[in-house]
Amino acid sequence: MKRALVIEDNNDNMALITKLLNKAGYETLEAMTGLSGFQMAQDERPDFIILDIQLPDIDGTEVLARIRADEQIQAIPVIAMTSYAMAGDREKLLAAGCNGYIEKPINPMKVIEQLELILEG
Amino acid sequence: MGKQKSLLAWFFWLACLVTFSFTAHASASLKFSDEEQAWLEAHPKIHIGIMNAWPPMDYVDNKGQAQGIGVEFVRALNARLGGRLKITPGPWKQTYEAVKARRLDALMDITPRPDREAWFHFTEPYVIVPHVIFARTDAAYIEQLSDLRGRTVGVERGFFIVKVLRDHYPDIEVREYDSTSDALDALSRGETHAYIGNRAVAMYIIESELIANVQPHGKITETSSTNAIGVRKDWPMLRGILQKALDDISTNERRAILRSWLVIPKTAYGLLLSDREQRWLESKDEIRVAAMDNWPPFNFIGSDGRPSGIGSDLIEAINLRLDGKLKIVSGPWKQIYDRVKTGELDAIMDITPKPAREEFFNFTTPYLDIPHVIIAHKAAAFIPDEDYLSGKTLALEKGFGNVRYFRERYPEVSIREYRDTSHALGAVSRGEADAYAGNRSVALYVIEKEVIANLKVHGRLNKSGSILAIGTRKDWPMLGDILQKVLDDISPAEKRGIVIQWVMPETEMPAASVITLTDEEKSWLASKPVIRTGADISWAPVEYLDDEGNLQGISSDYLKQLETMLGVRFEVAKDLSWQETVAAFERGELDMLTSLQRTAQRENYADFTEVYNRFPIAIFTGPKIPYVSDMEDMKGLKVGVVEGYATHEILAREHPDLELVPVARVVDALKKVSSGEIDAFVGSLLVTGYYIGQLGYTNIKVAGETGYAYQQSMAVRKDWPMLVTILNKALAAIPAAERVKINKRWISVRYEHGFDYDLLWKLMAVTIVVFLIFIYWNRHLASINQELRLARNQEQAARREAQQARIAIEEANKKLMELDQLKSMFIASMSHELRTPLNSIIGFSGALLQGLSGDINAEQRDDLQRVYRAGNHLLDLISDVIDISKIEAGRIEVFLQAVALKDIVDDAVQTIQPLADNKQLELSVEADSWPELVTDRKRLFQCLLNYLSNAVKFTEQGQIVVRVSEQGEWLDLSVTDSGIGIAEQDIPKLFEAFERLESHLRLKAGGTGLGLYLTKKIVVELFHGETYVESKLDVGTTFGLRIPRVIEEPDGGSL
Repeated sequence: MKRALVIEDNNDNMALITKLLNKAGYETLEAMTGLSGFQMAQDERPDFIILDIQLPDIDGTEVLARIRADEQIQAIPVIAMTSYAMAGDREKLLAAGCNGYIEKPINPMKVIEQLELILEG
Repeated sequence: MGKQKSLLAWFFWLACLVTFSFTAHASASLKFSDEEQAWLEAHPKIHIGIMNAWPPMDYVDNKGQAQGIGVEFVRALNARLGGRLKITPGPWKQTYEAVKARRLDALMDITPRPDREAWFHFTEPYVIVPHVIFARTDAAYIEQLSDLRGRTVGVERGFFIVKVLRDHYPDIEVREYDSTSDALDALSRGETHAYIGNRAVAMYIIESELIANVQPHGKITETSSTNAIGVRKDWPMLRGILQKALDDISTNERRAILRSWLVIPKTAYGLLLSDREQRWLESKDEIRVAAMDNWPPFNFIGSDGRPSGIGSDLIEAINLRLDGKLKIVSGPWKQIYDRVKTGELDAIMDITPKPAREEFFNFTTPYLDIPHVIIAHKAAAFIPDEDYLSGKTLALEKGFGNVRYFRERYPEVSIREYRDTSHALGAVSRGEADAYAGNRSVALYVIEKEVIANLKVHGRLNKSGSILAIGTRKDWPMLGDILQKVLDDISPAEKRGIVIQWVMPETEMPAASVITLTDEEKSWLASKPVIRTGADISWAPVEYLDDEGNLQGISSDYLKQLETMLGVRFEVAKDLSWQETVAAFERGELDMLTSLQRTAQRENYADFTEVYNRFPIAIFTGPKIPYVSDMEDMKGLKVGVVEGYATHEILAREHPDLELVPVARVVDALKKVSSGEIDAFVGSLLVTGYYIGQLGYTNIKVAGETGYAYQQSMAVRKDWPMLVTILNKALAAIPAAERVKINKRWISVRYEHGFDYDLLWKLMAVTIVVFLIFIYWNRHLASINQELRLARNQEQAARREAQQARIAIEEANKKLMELDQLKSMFIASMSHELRTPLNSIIGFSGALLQGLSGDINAEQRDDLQRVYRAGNHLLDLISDVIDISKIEAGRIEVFLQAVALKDIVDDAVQTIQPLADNKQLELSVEADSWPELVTDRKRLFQCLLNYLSNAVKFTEQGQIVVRVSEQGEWLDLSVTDSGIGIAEQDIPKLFEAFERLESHLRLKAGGTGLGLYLTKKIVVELFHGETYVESKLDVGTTFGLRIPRVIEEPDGGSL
C-alpha cells in the first residue's frame, strides 16, 4: 500500500485529505508543521508528499527546498496544496521543484484523480 | 519553576485551542483480554459518579441533564464499552463516600492522591487544568499565594485547597462556599479578596454569569485540577479496562471534548494570541525592537547605560505578555530606522505612521499622541500658535518633521536647526532663537531635567503632534498583529501608569469657544449655578459611569465643554437607572437630561435642543437567527428593547406586530440574546457593539439595519425654555474639530478582547468599524462644509477657520486611508478565513456523497447535495467578491505571460462542453487566426468562461459560437448564443453588480449575479479594454470583449 505524508496545519483539512486518501487505499502519515513534516519525510520515506504552503513555522516552499536538497529523499514526488492561489503561484511552485499542484478548496470528487494524474505524470 | 509551569500550561491550552470536529468511535486497536471480556459480560451496568455543580468539568444543567467534560469522557468511554457506564450525579462529598462504601463503582473528577489509595484505584488523569487566583479587576495584581497574607479568600467547601491554605498559610482567612458560583459571587460583591480554583471552571462561570468585575490573576503551583477516574478498590479489573478505553481516545477526540467546554481566558498570559500567532512566536528566539538612544523621556540610554523611558517600560509591559521575547536595541534614529527597513532588526518604537513608510513597515495603532507646543521665554509676549511666529527665529531639532512643516507652510519663520531637543531649548534660553516648537513631553522633561528656568510653554501648534506607534518589518505581518493584540491588552490604567512616571500630566483644558449670550440669558444662568442633570449610566461609550463613579463618554465631554463655556455646573445624578432617571425628570427632580431622543410622547414633559449626535440603530441577533434585511423580517421573533428607550416607543408604535421584550439595560438584552431567551435586540450600533466587544459575546452578530438612527438631543424641563436657547447656542458654538475629537475619542475605543477567537465576530467588528467610519465621515464632511461657509463671512476669523478646515481635511484624508486599509484587511480575512471552513463544508459533504463514510439513502443524498451545491455557490460568490474588491482597491496582481489564445479558448470550451451537452446545445469556435497574446491567462479564461456559462444558462435550444478575430493590435473575443435575448431597456443594467434580469429562466439559472460585473472590471481595469453586448429578444445575444493583444506591465514595459 502506498504511503502519503500529508503536511498541513489545519485540522479539518488534514482530516479531509487523509480521509479521501485512506478511502482511496493510501496509507497516510500526518505532520502539522513544516519542520516536523520534513523530519518525518526523512524518517519515513513516504511514497509521496502532500504539502500545504502556508505553515506555521517554515513555509511550504522552504520545506520543498529542503526536501529537494536532501539526497536521500529528493526523489519523492511532492504535490503542493494551497488556498486559492494567485496566478503565478503555480509557476513559482513548479519552478521550486514540486511535481504538481492542487488548489484549495479541494474538490472532494476529483482530488484523488488529480493527484493520481500528477503522480503518473 | 514558575516559568516552566506557565510554559506547560501554555502548551496545554495550545492543545485545547486547536479546532476539531470529531465523533467518538472505538479504534481497531482497542482489544480486551478474554478475562476482561468475561468481566465486562458479567457487569452489564457500571455506575459512575460525577459532580453535579462544577461546570464545565461536570454539572447538571437546568433540564436535569448531566453535562461537562467528564460526562463527555464517559460518553467516549461508553462508545467503547457498549454503553455500560451509567452516570450518577451528586455533590462531591456524597459521590465520593458512595464509591468508598462501594455503592457506586467509579468516580469522575477525582485527583489521584496517596491518601485516597486506600479506597480507590486511579486511572491516568484525563484532564489537567491549573488553579488560578481570581480577584476583582480593580485589585492590584496578585501573583502568588503569599500575596494574600492577611486577606480573605473564598474557596469551595471541602476542596483540597482548603487544607493547603490552612496548613501552609495560616494568616490567610479561608471562607468556604457551597459552589464555585457562590464563591465567585462573594468575591464580586467584596465579601472576599480573592477566589482560588480551577481556571476553566471559574472562567466558565464568570462568562456565563457575566461577573464583569472579576478576572484571573496569578497561577498557583500548590494545587491543580488533575482529574482522573477513581475506581472502587475491590474492582482492579475495571480500572484496567477503563484505562485501556481511555488510552484508546485519540488526541483529536480529547481536544474536541476540551475545546467544546473550555472558555479561553482572555487576559491570561500568552492566550491573547491565536494558535498560529503562538506558534509563530514560538519559532522565534527573540524579537529585536529598535529604540532611539537620545529622545527622553520616550526612549534614551539612562545613566546606567541601559535603555530607559516610556518606550522601554512599554516593551517591558509587552514582554510580560510575550514571555520576554522582545529585546531592545538602541541607536540614533536614522540608523535604527534603516536597520528595521532592511529587516536586520524586527521592529521600531516611536515611529509616526505615514503612508510613505508603509512600503517598509506595518504599524500598530499609536500608543501615544503628544501635542506639539511652542516654548519661549517666560517674559515674552504669549505666542498662541504658528501664525504668531512670523518674522521670528525658531529653534528645531535637525531632521525632525517640524523643520519641513515650517519651511513649507510658514516661510516667514526663520529656522535654526540643532542636534537635539536639549540644544534647541538651550538656544532659546540664551536668546539665540525666539522660540522652540516640538513635542511637549520631551521639552518639559528637558526643561525640568536641565533646570532651564527662563522658559515656559506658550501655545499649541495647530498641526497634529507626535503620534507614536510601533513599526514592524514588512515581511513579518504576524509580528504586527501580535504586538497590536498585546498593546490592546494593556489597559488604559496600566498605560497611564507607565506614562505618568515620565511625563507631567496634562492640566490644560481645551480652549473654550466663544459664545454670545444676551444679558437676560447671562443673568438667568447666574441664577442657576447648578443644573441637576440626568444621564444613562449604562450606555457606553455615549455615557456611562466609570469605576470611580464619574460620568464618562461622549455626553460627558459635551457637558465639560458646556460647563467651561457657560460657567455653570451640571450635577449628574449617578445612582439612578435609566428608567428611574426619566421618571425623576418627569417629576421635576432633574432639570435636564443629556441624551433623549425627541418623540411625540416625550414632548409632553420635555423641550429638546437641536440634535447634536446621530447614532444608527441596528438589529442584533443570536446564533440561531440568520441575517434579517429589515424590520419586516422580524415578525414572530422575540425582540428585546431597553425599556423606556426611544426605540421601545417607536417600535411599539410603528411595528405593532413585533413581540417586544422590554429589558432594563443593553447588557441585560445581550445576555438574553446570547442565551437564546430572546431572538433579537434592537439598539444603537455603537453602544451595543461596544458592550458586545467588552463582554466578549461571540455568538451575537449585527444582523441588519433598521433605517432608524438615535437622534441625541438634550432634554430640558418644560418651564425652562431659556435653558434650551442657551444650550442650543452653546452646542452650535462647539467647533466641528472639537466635536470630531470628542466622537473620535470615544468611538475609536478598541474592544479589549473577544473576537480573536471567532472569525464571524471579527468580520462583524471590522464591518462595524467600517460602517461607523462611513457614518462619521458623512457627518464630518457636513460639518466641514458648514465651517467653510462661516469662514467666508468673517474676515478676521477667516484665516483661523480655514486652517481648522485644513486640519479637518487632513484628518479626513487620514481617515479615508484608514478606511481603505480596513477594507483590505477585511478582504484579506475574507479570502483566508472564509475559505477554510468552506473547505470542510464542501469537502466533507462531498466525502459523504461519495459514500466514503458509509452508505447513504436517497433522502440523505438529496439533502447532502443541497449542502454541497450551496457550499460551492458560496465559494463562487466569495471568489467573485474578493476579485472585485481587489480590483477596486488596486491590489490585484496581474500575472502576464506569453500565451496562445487557442489554449485558453480550448480550455474554456472543454470546461463548458458537458453543460452544453446536457442541454443539447451545439458549441463551436470560429477563428480567422489564432493570435499569440501577452496577457493574464487565468483572468482572460475567467472572462470567457463567464460569457460561456451565461450563454448556456440562458439558451434552451440552438447553438453557442465563440468568435475570435484579430483587429490590428487588438483582439476581439465574443460568445453568441441563440437564447432568450435581452430587452433593450435592460441592457444598461447588465454589467451592474447583483443585477439579475427578470425572466422565466432566472430562478433556474443560479449564478452569483456578479459574473458580468467582474468580467467588465477585469477587462476594463486590468486589460484596459472594453466589453460589449448585442442582443435581440428571443433571437439571441452576443457578449464580447476587446483587449490589447499585448498587455503592458503597469510600469510601462511589456513582458
